[in-house]
Amino acid sequence: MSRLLRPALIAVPVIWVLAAHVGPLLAMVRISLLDAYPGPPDASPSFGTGAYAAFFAGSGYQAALGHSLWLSAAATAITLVLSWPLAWHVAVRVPGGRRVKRLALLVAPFWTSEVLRIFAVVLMLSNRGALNSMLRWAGLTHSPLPLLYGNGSVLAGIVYTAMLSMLLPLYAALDRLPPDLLDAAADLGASAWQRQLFVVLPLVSGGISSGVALTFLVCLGVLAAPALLGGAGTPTFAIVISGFFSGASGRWPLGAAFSLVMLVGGTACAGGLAWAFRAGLRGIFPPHRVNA
Amino acid sequence: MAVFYWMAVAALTLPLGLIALTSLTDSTLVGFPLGHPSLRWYQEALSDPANLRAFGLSASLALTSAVLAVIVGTWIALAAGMLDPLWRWLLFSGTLVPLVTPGIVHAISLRIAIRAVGIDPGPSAMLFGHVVHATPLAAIMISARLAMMPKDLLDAAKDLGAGPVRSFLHLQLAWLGPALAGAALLAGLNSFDDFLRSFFLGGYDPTLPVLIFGRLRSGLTPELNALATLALIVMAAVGGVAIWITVPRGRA
Repeated sequence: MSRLLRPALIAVPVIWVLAAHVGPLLAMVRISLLDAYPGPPDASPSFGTGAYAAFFAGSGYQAALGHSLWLSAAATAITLVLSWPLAWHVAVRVPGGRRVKRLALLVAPFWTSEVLRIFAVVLMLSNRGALNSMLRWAGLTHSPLPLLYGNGSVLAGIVYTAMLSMLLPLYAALDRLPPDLLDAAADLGASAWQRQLFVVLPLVSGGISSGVALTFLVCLGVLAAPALLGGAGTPTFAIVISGFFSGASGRWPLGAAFSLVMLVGGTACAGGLAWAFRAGLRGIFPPHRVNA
Repeated sequence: MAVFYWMAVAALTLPLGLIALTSLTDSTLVGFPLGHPSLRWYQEALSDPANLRAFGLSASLALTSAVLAVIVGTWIALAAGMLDPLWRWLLFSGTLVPLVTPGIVHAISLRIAIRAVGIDPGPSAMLFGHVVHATPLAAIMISARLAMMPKDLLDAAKDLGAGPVRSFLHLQLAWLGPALAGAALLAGLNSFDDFLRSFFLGGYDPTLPVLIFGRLRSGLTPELNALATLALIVMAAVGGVAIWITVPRGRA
């Protein structure tokens, strides 16, 4: 019985993971190497690297990727700066019994669909929106400020979409921080700043770097925020990619190749950022310097 | 620090409240100044069959994908528990791929995959996408709970004559209960909220987020606010139940 059951139990999830989690990415690699897809049923597409050449040929595509990388880096930096004090407050300052409730309150807005959060940003920033109405009511402006459809509104939307991927890893890392260590550092005369820099940061560098990497990748793949909040300027790479899957047919290879460029380039950047944060936080503020 | 925390809670929550606030008006314009309070737009939203169809599609996708994601997640967690560390690591790495792939790349890879196997965009394609999307989190939650199970419980069941099937049904499933419920609710919420996969895998009938996305592109109407508010209420309710079930209570 068990001799038959065991392989079956193991085989099914392995097949699922290979077919449904890894397989689609491999299928995407294959499509990216075709010259036209989907095409007429009788056509047999030939293989080539034309889709990748198109990325390097057109400077507009590279500008879009650069714009996306820049937006993601900025959004990641903003989420890190906003999430750190929040995670610190909930994980370290709030007493244990109330901690989960305080965390839930912070996390609850992220249970909503990203589309609804972008909708909320529109209602904040539009001409008849909350911010402009308040400014007019306070007599600070006479005509509404153009807050929507620019880099600022896209950044706000991306931060509101992706902040949870920073908040949770930071909270998890800070929650594991032994409180005695902070007390010990304080007893030995370390100021609040010294405790943060020389005790806390090296210990949670792993949590920070994984939060940074994950958030960067999430930011890169956001479509609703730039589609609904972006202006007429440089599109994000996600917008460019999605364009290949609507309208004229036969352009899937471009979409697949550009998706892989985003995946590989984004993962490399995320890995680099994670490494830099880890090495930086441990190297600049090594724990042993506490005694120095 | 506490002040910053409450400011952040307000800054993250109040914009969503704005959706509800600007829906309770008799005006045809969205925003400020608010018109007279009225439920007029809720009546309009609920009498539009397209809205009801989208709601029904989103709800049924959420229910089915929650059940399927929990089954797949449990299966992965059980299989991982039987494997050597290296193979367990490989299985989990593969499981987590959808979690670390940028959203649009994941959605497009699924769009390509369903075409490769001859499935047209539509409800079943979206169901597949939602299950794949929810499986990593479900597998993480369930295997974390499984790892906490005392080893001697299984030995005790064996000594008492329980076969593998019986001890799975009566012991492991019972032990996993809270994690299964939490994972199911999160997976259902993930599906109900999902935009990217539904956008690329959907056919002519949109899910609620895709419908709202399309209408946001063509301009604001209070009817859209009313519809979005109803969606928010569902999301908040499911999220609240998820917290209530998974978070241990009464502990100091």
